[in-house]
Amino acid sequence: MSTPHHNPDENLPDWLRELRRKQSEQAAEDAAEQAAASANASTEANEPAAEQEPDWLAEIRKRHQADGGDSDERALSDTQPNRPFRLDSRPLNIPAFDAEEAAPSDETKARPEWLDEADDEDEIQTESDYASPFGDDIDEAEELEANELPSWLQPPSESSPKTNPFYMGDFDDEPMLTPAEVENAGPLAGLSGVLPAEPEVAKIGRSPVFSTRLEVSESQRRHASVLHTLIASETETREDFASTVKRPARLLNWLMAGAMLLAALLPLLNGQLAAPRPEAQHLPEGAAMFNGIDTLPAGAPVLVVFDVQTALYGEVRAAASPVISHLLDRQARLIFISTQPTGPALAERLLQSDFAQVPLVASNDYISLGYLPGGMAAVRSFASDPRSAPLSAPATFTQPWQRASLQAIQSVDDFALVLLVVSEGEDARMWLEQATPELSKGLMVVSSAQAAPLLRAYLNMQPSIVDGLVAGVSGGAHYERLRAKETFSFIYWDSYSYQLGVAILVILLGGLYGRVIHTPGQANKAKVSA
Amino acid sequence: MMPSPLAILALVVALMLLFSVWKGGKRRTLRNIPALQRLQRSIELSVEDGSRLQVNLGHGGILSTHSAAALAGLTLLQQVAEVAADSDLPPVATSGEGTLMLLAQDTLRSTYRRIGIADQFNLHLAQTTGTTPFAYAAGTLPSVLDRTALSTAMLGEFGPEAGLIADAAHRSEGFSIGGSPSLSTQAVLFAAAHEPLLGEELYAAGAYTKASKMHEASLRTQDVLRWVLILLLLFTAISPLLGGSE
Amino acid sequence: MNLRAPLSTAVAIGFGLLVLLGIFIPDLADLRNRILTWAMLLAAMALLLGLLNLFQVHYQRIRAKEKSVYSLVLIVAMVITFALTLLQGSDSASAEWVFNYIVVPIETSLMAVLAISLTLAAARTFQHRTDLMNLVFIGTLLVLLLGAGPLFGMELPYFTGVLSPYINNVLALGAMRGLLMGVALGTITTGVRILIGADRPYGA
Repeated sequence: MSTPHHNPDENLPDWLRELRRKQSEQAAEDAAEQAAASANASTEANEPAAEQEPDWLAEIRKRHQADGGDSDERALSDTQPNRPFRLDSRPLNIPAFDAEEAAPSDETKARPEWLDEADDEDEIQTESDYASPFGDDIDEAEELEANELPSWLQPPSESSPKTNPFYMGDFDDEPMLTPAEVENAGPLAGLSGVLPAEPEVAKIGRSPVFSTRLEVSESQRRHASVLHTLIASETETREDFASTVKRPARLLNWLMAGAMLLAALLPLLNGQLAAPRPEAQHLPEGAAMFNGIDTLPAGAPVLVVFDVQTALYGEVRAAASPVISHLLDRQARLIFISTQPTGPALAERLLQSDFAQVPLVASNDYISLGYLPGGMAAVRSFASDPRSAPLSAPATFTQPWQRASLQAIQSVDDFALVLLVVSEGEDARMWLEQATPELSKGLMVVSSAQAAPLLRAYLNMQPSIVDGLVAGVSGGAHYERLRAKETFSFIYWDSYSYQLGVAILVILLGGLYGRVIHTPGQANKAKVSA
Repeated sequence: MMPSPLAILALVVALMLLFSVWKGGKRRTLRNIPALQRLQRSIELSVEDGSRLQVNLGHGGILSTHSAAALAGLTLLQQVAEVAADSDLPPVATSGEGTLMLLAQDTLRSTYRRIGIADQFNLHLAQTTGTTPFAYAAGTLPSVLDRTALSTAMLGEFGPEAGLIADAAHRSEGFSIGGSPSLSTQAVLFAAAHEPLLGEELYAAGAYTKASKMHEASLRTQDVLRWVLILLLLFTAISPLLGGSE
Repeated sequence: MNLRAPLSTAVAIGFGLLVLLGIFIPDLADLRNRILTWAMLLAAMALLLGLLNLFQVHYQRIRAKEKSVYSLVLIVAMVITFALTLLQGSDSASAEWVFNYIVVPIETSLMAVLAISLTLAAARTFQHRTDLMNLVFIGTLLVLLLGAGPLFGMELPYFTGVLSPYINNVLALGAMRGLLMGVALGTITTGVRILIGADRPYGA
């Protein structure tokens, strides 16, 4: 009995059978078309037909061909998104995996400075056994012998293409499989390409013991130590950098400083006054002050604005002491005020150190109004209405306005004289600009030498702003000469003279050293390094 | 006849407003001030290499004669903070006076808030390092000497003590720029600082760091008034020679 | 809505204008003086705040162990001086002792260091700057130093009597006035920026 042929479509409804038939016809047509297409594939695969190319692409291609560009890649690059500017302008220098390109000379250029510094610190290591984190690994890899590499990693030999792992062999060659790859035992004997599962799976023995210790190679350890050094150096407190650089220059600086100090000290130790005094005609503004003070009536209230910075006290003292001495000799009642917090203390120091024996000072017959806070605004306010200005007078001089010498003072113009003792030209300027509108006469100014050029601009103006000026050590010495009473400048004048000389020598010789010896040396160094 | 101060003030305001709205065509370039160009470069470099820029505002307060110089310093501080506030070492301001310290703190706080990192602001970014000029300089020196701050800008009221800060910057191989309205300090900075700002150049820092249109306008106003002054001086000098009388 | 910024700007502009107009309008002089007195009190208070800030900064450094020795010395000295002055007064013997034997010598020494630094800086300019400006600077500096007094006890009459006074009273004075005019212009424009609210250093 034969098995009846069973048609799978026989039980299907008509409409489904019809659909099946149509589908199978369609499939046959598709297969035929596919076969035809694959026959043409070799000729058309890499050439997009011109008629299939979209217009925009064709246009780009045309434009680049017109520009002389013949590469399709270039033409199509226009269709890519814009590359970042930095990538276009500065092509990345990706080091090739080539021992020569990774040589230390190239690498040092690319490495950041801080890494170089770290290398310098371990210079001995670098010379002998230290491996740079970037380049030296490659050298190490190079040192591995070829025999140690697995066969598939061994470099190809140009002479024998057959050793190339990707060389598939010629048709005429012997079969590629070696005898070792043909199974020679068991039920699969004679078959080739059999996976050698059995020896691995069936291996019997103790399970391996893995160490919990981190195993690192020598190279990794060195890298870790460099990283550790870098991180440690970041957290260290930085020492005075200046003490470690340019030691010869620092030595020279010390020598020059020593010479200047010696020039200041020697005349003091010698104790003789050798340098000639300044001529009277060179400082006419000093003479104007002398005349102004010399005509003051006895007991005249004089406002002394003592705006001196502590650091410049030494210089200002040399100029101020002869003038204060003159005022005390004229029996003037001194009233001190300052816009510097340390001003009242310095004024007190001046009086106590230089005039403690003068009766007016010894009997505290002077007044300190203290510190006037608020800068320019305060000066303006004090000049308009001195009595209402908020002052921090010392405890010794509480209720200063109740004192006899200040009873008659209602405005700043009521003082017989306003004397500015200043270390900075700007402080003097503040008083000159804010107080002058309230004054019917000019002020007298004692200043440091650095303030003098600014203050000279206010001399001989109409209406008068500054009537007299004594500036610096030379101004003080000159004033003492006018008074024929040389006391304070005796301490300073010779030292000043010697220091001037040494300063000029230092500038000239130091400049000569820098210009003739140091700079060409640096230029040579630059040439060598270039 | 002397012009009234109010008239001068009105002229300045008018010129500044005019320059702030005037487009001026292609010739809107600022005059060349090499020191400020180097300052700009220095700000960029300090942002790039993560070093700190220290803005020293001087010892003069807001009530001193030269409070305007301190305000110019504050403008620079604001611009520096906008560029470098979120770097590893944000800029630090030092001052030798209380009011200036408060203003510096306000300036930094508002800048941090504006660029959206208000949480990173702390009051110690604006410090008073001393209350007398030399104490202020001495308090500023350590950060320059140990190279915490590689770039040092001194814009404000300084005395000769600015020389100490500039010298410290030189010794630690840092960069220093300085400007002060005080003439003797300008001389000190000319010798000691890498880049000195002379005369009104100090007030041009805002325009060069592109603080606002109004800064640029005020710089142009300064330039115009400078020429007006020069012409007036020349006219006053030669008018007696030409037979003119007062 | 944050009203702080416009309010502080309005206050700053208003007070600035009042002080300015007080100079020109006599009726506003009293008001101006009152405002200036407030400003002075604020300045005195700000001095205290500055000291507090100094204390805080160094206290933080001690806590962070960042060069803490210097900060410790500063804080100890500050506290002792403050306490002495507060308890015994600023003109007491102990306060005067601290001032005369610690503050003055330290600051004067700094000035001495500055004198040496500036001399060396002047020498360095030969090396760093070779332009005309620098030549003028060095030349003027040397002439003024030669004319400032006798050198090693010897008078140089031409420098002290002729050249130095000429530079001081003519050339330097002219240049200085030019610089001052520039500074004044800068000051005016900066002040105007504050007055019209273009610059708001108070952080609004």
